[in-house]
Amino acid sequence: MFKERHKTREMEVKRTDIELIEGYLSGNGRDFEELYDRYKKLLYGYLNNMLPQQQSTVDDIFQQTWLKVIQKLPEYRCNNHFSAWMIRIGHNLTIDHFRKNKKFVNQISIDNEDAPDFPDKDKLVWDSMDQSDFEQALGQVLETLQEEQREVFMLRHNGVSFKEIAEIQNCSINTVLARMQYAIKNLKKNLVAWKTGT
Amino acid sequence: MKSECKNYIEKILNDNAEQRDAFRAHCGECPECASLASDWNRMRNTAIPVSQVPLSLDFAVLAAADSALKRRVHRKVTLRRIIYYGAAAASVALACLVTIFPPDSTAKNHRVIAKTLDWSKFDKELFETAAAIEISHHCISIAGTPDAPNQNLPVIEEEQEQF
Repeated sequence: MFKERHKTREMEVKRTDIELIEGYLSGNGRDFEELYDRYKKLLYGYLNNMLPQQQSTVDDIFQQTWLKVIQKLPEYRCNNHFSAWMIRIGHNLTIDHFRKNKKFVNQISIDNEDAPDFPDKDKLVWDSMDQSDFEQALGQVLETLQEEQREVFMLRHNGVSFKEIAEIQNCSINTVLARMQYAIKNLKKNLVAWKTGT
Repeated sequence: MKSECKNYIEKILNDNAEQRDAFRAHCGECPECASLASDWNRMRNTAIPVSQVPLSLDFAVLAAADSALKRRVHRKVTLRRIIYYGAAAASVALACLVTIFPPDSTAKNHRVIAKTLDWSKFDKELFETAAAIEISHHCISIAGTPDAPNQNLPVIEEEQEQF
C-alpha cells in the first residue's frame, strides 16, 4: 500500500511543467497547486533578494506575479522554462515598483564598475571561512550587492541559464556574464569583511 | 584577465559536465579563472536561506487560480451552449423556410426541360389526344364497363363468327 502510494507520488513528481499547465487549463485545479508548490519558493526568494527589508512589497509583488501568471497561462508557450517566464513577470513588476518609487536603475555604471581588489591578507581570511560561516553570511551579504548583480547571482544560483537571465534583464549574455563576475567578486570581498567585522 | 579568458567564463559559470574538461585545462594555466571557478563553486553549493511563503499568500493565490479556472470552465460551457442552441435554431428556421418557400431550383429545372421539347406539333398532338379521349369515353358509354356491361348490345351469332 505504502509502496503504491510512493510510486504514484513519484509519477506525479515526474510530470513536466507543461503537462501541469495543460492539466490546469483543461480544468484540473490540483495541477496548478503542484506547479505553485514547485516554484513559489524560487519566486519568493528572488523577490526577497530583490527587495530586501520590504516584506509587505515582496508579498504584494509575489501575489501580483502569480495573478498575472494565472491570467497569462493560456498564452504560455514552452520556448522558455516556466521558471524563467515566471521570474520575468516578477522582474517586470519589480521594475514597475522601482519606477513608481522613482528608484532609478543605472545599468551603465554597474557594468562599467571595476572589479574589486582582493589583497593577500583577505585571501587568508577567505580560505579560513568554513561552510557554517558561509551559510550564515551569504544571505546577509547578498543584500549589499547592486540590484542587477544580485538578480543575476540569485537566478544563476537557482539554475536559470544565462540566456534566460539575459532575456529577463533585456540585455546581452556578455553583460550578464560581466554582472555575474562582479557579483562573485563583490560577494567574496563582503564575506571577508563580514568575517573580519569591518 | 586575459582576452582568451572571455571564451571560458560562460563555461566556468555554467559548469556543465560536458564543458568541464575544456575550462579545467584553461584554469590550470590561468590563476584568475581558477579563482573564479573555485569561488563560484563554493557559493553555489551554499544554500541561500529563503523565508517561508506566508500561508495567507498561499491561500490567496490558490483561491485566485481556482476562481479563474471556474470562470474559464463556465465560459467554455456557455460558449458551447450558444453554439448548440444557435445551430438548432438555425436548423429549425431553415426547415421552415424550405417548407414555406420551396427552393427555386425545381422550377428552374422544369424551365430547362421545357426548352428542350419540340413545341411545333403541340396543337395537333393536343387535338389528337383530346379526340382519342372523347372516342374512348363514347365507347365506354356504349359498351359499359367490365363490371357493368351494357345489356342492350346485340349478340353476335356463332355462325357469323365462324364465317
